[in-house]
Amino acid sequence: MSEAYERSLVVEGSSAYERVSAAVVGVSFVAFLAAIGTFFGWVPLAENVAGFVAARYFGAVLVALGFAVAGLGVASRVGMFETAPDDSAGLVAAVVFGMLWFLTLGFVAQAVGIGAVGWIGALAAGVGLAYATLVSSEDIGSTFPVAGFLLFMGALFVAGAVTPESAWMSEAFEATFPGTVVIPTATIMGALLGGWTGAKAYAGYGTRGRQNGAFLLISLVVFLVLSILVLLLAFVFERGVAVVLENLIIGAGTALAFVALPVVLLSRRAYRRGIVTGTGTDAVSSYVRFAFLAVFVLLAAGLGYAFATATSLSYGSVTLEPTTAVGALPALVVSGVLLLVARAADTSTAETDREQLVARLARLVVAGLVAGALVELFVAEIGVPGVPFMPIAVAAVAAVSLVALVASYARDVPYPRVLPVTVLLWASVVAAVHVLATGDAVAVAGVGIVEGGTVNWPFLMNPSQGLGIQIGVMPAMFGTIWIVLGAVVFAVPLAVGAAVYLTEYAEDSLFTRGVDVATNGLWSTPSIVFGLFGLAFIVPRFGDSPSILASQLVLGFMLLPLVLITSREAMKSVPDEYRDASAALGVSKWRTIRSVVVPAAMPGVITGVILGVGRIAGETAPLLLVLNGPNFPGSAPGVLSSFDVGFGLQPPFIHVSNPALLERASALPYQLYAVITAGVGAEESFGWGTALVLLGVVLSFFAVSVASRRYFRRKLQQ
Amino acid sequence: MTETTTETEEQSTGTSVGSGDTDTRTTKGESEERTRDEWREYSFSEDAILSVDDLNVYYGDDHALKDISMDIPEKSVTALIGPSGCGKSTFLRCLNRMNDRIKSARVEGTVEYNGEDVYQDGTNLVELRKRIGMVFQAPNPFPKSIRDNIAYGPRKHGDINRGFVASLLGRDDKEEEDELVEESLRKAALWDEVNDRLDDNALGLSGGQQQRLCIARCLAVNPEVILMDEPASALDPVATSKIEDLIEELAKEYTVVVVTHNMQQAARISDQTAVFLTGGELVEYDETDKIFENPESQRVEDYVTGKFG
Amino acid sequence: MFETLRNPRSAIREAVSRLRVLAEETDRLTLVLVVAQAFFAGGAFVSLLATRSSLATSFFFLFLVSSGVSWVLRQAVTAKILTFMMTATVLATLGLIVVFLVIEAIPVFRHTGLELFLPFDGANWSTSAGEFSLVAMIWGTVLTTLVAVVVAAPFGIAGALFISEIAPEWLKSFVKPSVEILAGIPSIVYGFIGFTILNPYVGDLFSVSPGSLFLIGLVIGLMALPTVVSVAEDALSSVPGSMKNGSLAVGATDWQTMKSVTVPASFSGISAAVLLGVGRAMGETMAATVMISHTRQLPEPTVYNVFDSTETLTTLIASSYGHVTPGELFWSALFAAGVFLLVIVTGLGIVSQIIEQRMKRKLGGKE
Repeated sequence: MSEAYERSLVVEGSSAYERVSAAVVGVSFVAFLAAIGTFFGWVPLAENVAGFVAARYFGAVLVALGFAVAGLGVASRVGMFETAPDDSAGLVAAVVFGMLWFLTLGFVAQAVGIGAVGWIGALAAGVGLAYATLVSSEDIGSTFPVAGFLLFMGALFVAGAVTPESAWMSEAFEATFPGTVVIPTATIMGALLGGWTGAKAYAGYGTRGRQNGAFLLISLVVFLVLSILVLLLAFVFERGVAVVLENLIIGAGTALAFVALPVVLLSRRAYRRGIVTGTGTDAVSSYVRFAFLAVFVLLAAGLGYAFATATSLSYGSVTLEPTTAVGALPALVVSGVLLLVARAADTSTAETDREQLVARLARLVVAGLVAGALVELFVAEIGVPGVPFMPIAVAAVAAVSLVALVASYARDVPYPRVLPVTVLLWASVVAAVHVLATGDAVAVAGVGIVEGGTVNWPFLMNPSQGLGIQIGVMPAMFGTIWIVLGAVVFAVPLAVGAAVYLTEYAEDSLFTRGVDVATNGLWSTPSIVFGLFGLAFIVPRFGDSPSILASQLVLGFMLLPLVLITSREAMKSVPDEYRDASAALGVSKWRTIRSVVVPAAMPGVITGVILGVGRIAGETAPLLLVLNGPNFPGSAPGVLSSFDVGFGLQPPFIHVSNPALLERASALPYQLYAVITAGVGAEESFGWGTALVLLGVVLSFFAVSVASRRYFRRKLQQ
Repeated sequence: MTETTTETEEQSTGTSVGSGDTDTRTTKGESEERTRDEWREYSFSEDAILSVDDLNVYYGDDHALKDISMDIPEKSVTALIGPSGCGKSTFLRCLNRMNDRIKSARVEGTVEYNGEDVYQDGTNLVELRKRIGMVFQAPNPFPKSIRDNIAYGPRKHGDINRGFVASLLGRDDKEEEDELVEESLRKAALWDEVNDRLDDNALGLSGGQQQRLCIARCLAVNPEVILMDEPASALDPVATSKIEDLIEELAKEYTVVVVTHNMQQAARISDQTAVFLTGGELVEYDETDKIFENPESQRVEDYVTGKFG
Repeated sequence: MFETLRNPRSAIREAVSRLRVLAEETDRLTLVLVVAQAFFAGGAFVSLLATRSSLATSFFFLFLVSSGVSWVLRQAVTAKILTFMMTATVLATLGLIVVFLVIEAIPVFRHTGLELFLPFDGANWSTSAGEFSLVAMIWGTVLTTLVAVVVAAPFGIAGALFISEIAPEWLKSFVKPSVEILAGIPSIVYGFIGFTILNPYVGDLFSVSPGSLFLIGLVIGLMALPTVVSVAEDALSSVPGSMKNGSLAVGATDWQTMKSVTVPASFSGISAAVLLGVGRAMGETMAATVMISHTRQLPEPTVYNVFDSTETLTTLIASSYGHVTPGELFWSALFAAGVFLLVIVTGLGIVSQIIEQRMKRKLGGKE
C-alpha cells in the first residue's frame, strides 16, 4: 500500500546540499548585519579596506551569494541531490520577484536616462519574469531570479559602476539618493532574498522549504525591529547616564543598605529552592539569579573595603564616601521592604502557650514603638532634655531581639525565628522615623542612622539654574509626581466603581453598551484631544489658567478608560463559583462584592493602575495645553505647604484651597519638550539626562506591572 | 480481513499457551514484571502496520507512558481503553507525532510504521501525517465551506491545484476536486446530507455531521491509518451510533485506532483492545472478546466489569 | 439593544413602570437618600456646566454629606447608586469631550465652510489673511499615517505571528513582555531622538530639509508597532488550538496552517489591530511636533513628496497653543482639527473594538 505514495516517508537529506544552503543563509545574515552597520558607521563603506573601497567587498559577497544560489537551483534541477520542489515557485515568490526586477530595471533605466520608456520596458520585464517564476519548477523559479539580482547588483558594485560617491537627484522628491544609501539598501534586499532562498533550499523546497523560508524571514524581521528598539533604549542610556550621575556622592552605609536588599532577597530564594532549579529556561534564569547574587555580594564586599580602609572610591564623577552612617529615608525604605518580605515569609505559628506569650509580647513592644514614633512625628520628641527616650528603647529592643535570634538558632528552636527579625526591622523603621522627626542622628561611632546627606544626587535633587550653570530635574520630577498622584486619586476610584457596577450590577442594556463604546472610544482618543477638552472645559472652570489641577484632571480622564478596562477584566475573571458560594451562604450581594469579588480582583486592578500610571507619566501633549509652565522652573510646586483650610458661614462652610495646585508648573516630559524648544546645543546633554530619567520612571512602571501580572497569574495557576 | 483474524487467533492462542496456565490469573505484581520479549510475543506481530517498541513518554518530570510495546494489525479496529489520565490519548498522539506540538513532551523508544521508525531524524512529518490521519475528540472543522474543508489537505499537498495561479497556468483541477469531495463525503456517510450545500460554512453543520466531516477531511488525503481520539464523546447517542457504524465500515479499507473510555463502544466496534491503566502502563492487549470475557489480569477484569476506574 | 432602539416608546414606558415598582418596593428613608444624592450630584454637574464653580462646590459637598449618611444607613443601596454614577461619568466624559470640542469649533466652520476640510480652490492656511483651511494638515496626517502603516502593519503582523506561532516557549516568555514594555516609551523620547539625531542624519543623507514626512512616518510607525503586535497577537491566540491541530493532522505544515487557517480565522482581529495602529499613528503628537517643519502648506513639488515637510493636525494644535487667545478664529480652528481627529481616531478605535469582539464571539473562544 505504501507504494501508492509518491514521496518517501523518511527524507535522507543530503548533507552537502544542506551545508551549502546553510552557508548561503549564514553569509546572507552577516551581509544583512554589515549593511545595517554601515548606517551607524560601525562598518566601513566608503573607506579603503586592504586596498579596495569597502563597497566592493559588499559587491563581491553579493556575487558569491548569487553563484551559490544559482548553483543550488541547478543542482536540484539536474537531480544531483534529492529535493522535493513543487511544480511552481508560487504566487508570492512570483509577485516579489516581478516587483523586484521591475523596480531594479526601472531605476537603472532612470539612472542611465531613458526614463519613461525604461519604466515601460521594466514593467514588461517584471511581468514576464513573474510569469516565468510561476510556470517553472520551484527549484529554478525561486533561485534564478534571486541569483540574477544578486549577480547584477554585485557586479555593479565590484566593477565600480555604483560607488559610495555616486548620487542620483530625484526631481519628484527634491532629494538626493547617494551611493551610501543605495549600496547598503541593495545589500539588505539581496541578503534577505538570498537568505530566504537558502532557507527554502535547505529543507529541499516544497512545503517544508516554504515554511523554512517564511519562518526565517519573519524571525529576521522581528529580530531587526526588536534590536532597533533595544538599541534606542541603549542609546538613550549611553547618552544620558553620565549627565544623570554627574557629581553623585553616596555614603557607603546607605549604599550597603541598598545592596543588602537584593542580597537578602536573592539568597533567601537560593536558600529555599536551591541554587539551580528546574530545567531549560528555568535553569538558565536560576543561573542568572545566582550571577546577580554574586555581583551584589561582590559589591557589598567592595563597600566593606571602603569602610575598612576609609578611602573614597570614585568612578567618573561618581564618588562613594566611606561614611558608615545610613540615611534615614533609605533606611526607612529598605527596612520597610524587608518587613514586607519577612511578613510574606512568616509561615510559623505560635502553638504552645509560651510561644503565644512571646508572640503577644513582641506585638505589644512593636505597637509601643510605633505609637512612640507617631507621637514624635506629629507631636513632640519623647524624653527629658539630653536623654532621648526613643533611641534607647529602640536599642534595647534591637539588642533583645538579636539575642533571641541567635538563641533560637543556637538551641535550634524553630518557632520564633522570623519574629525577632520582624521586631528588629520594626525597630529600625522606628529609629529612622525618629531621626526624620527630630533631626538627631541615632548612631554610635558613626555607625547608625543620620538625617540625611548620605546621598547627594545633583541631577535629581537640584532645580536647573539657567543655561550651563546647573542642571537638574527636581521641580519637573515633583510636578510629575503631583500630577500623577492627583490623576490616580481622581480616576482610580471612579474606574473601579464603574467596573464594579458593570460586572456585578448591570444587565446588558443600551446603557452598558453605550458605556462600552465610550470606554473604547476614550481609550483610543488621541491625547492631544484630551488636552483640547481640558482647555475648553476644565481650565475655564478651575482657575482660568493652565495649572497642576487641570493637568491632574485631564490625565485622570485619560487614566479612566485604562483602569476601567483592566479592572473589568480582572473582575470578570473572578470565577462565578466564588459569587455563588458566597450567595449560597446567604451573604448579600454588596457584601459578596466587598469581601469576595474586589479582593480577588485586586491584583489585576493594581496591575492595571500601574500600567496606566506608566502611560500617563510619559504623556506630554495635553500638558502643553493645560500645564504650560515655565521652561525651567527654579523650585518645585509647594503643594503640601500651601493647603489652606478655612471655615466660613457660606456653604459649604469648610473652605479648602490650595493656590499651588492652580499654578502652572513643569513635569518630566514637559521639561524634555522645553529643552527641545529652548534650542539644543549646550543643553542637549540636559535633554538626554531628562530623557533617561523619564524612561526610567515610565519603564519601571511598565516593568513592575508586567512582572506583577506574571506573578499573580502564576500564583493563580498553582 | 477474515484471514487476518484467523491468523491473529492462532497467534493469540499460542500466546495463551506460551504464557502458561490461562486459568491462573496473573496478579498485579506479575504483570508488571513481564519482560519486553513476552510483550512482543503477546502482540499481533503478523501484518502489523504499526509496531511500537519500548515507548516511554515524559511531560517534564511526569512519566506519562511506561515501556509500551504493541503491534497494531492492518485493516482492523484497535481500541485503546482505560480510565482518564492513563495515557491512551498520549499514546495515540505518539503514532503520528502530534505530541511534537507539546513543548515539554519527550519521547523515547521506537514507533515503526511499515518498518520505518517515525521518530528517526529526517522523518517527513507532512508525509507521516498524510498517511496516519487523525480525528479529534471535539469536531474541529475550519471556518470555511464544506468543500474547502474536504479539499484542504489535497490542496496543501499540491495534489489538487485550485485558484488564481492554477487557472492562469491552465492546471485547474476542479473536476478532480469534485470527485474527491464526493468520494470522501460518501465514505464518511455524509454525502446524502450535504451534497446540496457544499459551499455552506462547515460551522453550520450539527455536531455529528461536523465530526463526520472531519473524518471525510482526513480520508481525503488518502491515509492508511486513521487515529481517532474519543471521536464520539462530544456527540449525542444517534450521532454516536452513526460514527460507530462508520468506523466498522472504514476498517474494511483502513487501519483504525480508536481511543475510547466507553467500554461498550470498544466491545462493539473493535477487533482488538489494549487496556491502559493509571500510571501509563499497558496492562493487557488482546482480542477484544478475550479482553472482555476472559482477561488475563485481575486489574483488567476489575476495570472492564466496572469494579474500578 | 436593537429591540429597544427600534421601539423607544415602549422602552420608556417599561422603564417608567419599573421605576414605579422600585419606588413602591423600597422604604421611604432609602428613597429620600437616593433622591437626595441624585439631586445633589445632578446639581453639581449642572452648575459646573454653567461655570458656577462655588455653587458646584457646594452641591458637591452636599452630595458627599448625603452619600456619607446614606453609606452609614443603607450601605448596599448606596454602593449600587455610587457605582452607577461612576459608570455614568464615563459616558458623560465622552459626551462632554464631543460637545465642548464641537462648540468651540463652530465659529471657524461658519467662517470657512466646507473648505475647512475639502481641497477647494483657495483652501489655504494663512492667519494673516484670515484663511483657516485644514487641508494641508489633513494631507500631512494622511501621508505620515500611510508611511507609518507601511511600517507598522507588516512588521506588526510578523511580530504577532512570531510571538504566537513561531517562537519557542522560552523566547516567547521573553519577547512578549519586552514588546509590552516597549509600548511604554513616551513619545517625547522618540521625538527627542528624532530631533537631535535622526533629523540631521536624514537631512544630510538625502540633502533634504529636516522634518521630512517620510522620517516622521517611520518614527510614528515604530511607535505604533507594539500596539499592533499586542492586539494582533491577542487575535491570533484566540483561534482555538483544536482548529490548528485539525490542519496539522492532515499533514499541513505549520506555515500552511498559519496561512490557511489561523490568519483567515483571526483576520478581522488582525485588521482591528491594524486599524488601531492607524489610529495611534494619526493621533500621535509629540514625536511629530518636535520633528516637523510646521510650514502649513501642501508638500512640493508634488503633493505626494514624502521627503518634504508640512504640518499635521496634531502638530498644528500642539505648536499653536500659546499663540492664540480664546475666541479667535485661530483658536476655533484648533478645535476643528481636534474634532476631525476625534471623529476619525476615536471612531477607528470603536470600530476596531467592535470587530474584535465579533470575531471572538464567532470563534467561540475566550471572551
